[in-house]
Amino acid sequence: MTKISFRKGRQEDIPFLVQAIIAAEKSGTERLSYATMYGLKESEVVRLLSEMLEEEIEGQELCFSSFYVLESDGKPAATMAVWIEGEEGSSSSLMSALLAHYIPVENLKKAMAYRKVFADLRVERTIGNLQMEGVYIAPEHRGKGLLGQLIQHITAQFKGRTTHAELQVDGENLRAIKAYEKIGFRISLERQSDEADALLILPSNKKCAMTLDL
Amino acid sequence: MERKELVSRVEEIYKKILEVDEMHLEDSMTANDVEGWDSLTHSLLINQVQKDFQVKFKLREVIALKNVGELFDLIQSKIV
Repeated sequence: MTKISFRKGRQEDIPFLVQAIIAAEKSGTERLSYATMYGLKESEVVRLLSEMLEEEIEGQELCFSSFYVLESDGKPAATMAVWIEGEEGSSSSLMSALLAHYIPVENLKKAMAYRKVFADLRVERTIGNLQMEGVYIAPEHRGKGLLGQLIQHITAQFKGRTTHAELQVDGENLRAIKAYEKIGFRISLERQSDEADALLILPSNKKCAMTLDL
Repeated sequence: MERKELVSRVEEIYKKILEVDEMHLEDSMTANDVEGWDSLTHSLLINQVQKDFQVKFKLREVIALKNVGELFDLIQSKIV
């Protein structure tokens, strides 16, 4: 029988976590926004994400200790980053601080052309809610109910500290939306961008916020 | 450097990055108070501030910033 166990992310997980972030961002397509919007190659994104994850700053989503890892027979099979929005200061500035620190300024400037797309699809995170990001189940472990087990484990850890969990998902990723609905998430907000550029840089021009009552 | 001069130089940077003609910054201001100040323009602002004042911020210092006043303090602490 398969042995399932849970633990926090560790430094040696970084390659697996980078794989998770990239797969989650692509959302089943070949478009990786971190590459398309900044004019970077996927290999450069892998390097930058690895460097960001090495920076151990508690409470920021891109550090390895923000991740929970589900192991199947001792090997990482699923993961996600979690944090309570607003608990560690101004989380909205975290990503930009990381970007400013790691992405060359000429690449940041390239992304300015896509600001309207991101403004259209922007979903505010709710202060005090548990945030789930970079949700990933390794392909060979899909369809085994690991997503539900990982979410159940994580929400138990945060019991008493928050009343809702929320996540954002590509609006066209119906498989993921259905999987979250099965666990109890409901769509709380839908966004769409009519900018032609959206489909050049993102998996789709739609985004959903989903919420789970804890 | 006098705080007034520092604030004025930072305001010039904001005007350039956010492409606006007027910018008046106060210590308590955050990204929520300024039109066009999103995560991307914030990245460019932080980059330009470092270039203009010839200072280098640590990642932890940037992440800890809670408002414009703290950015002024951080710049001041680096150029003394």
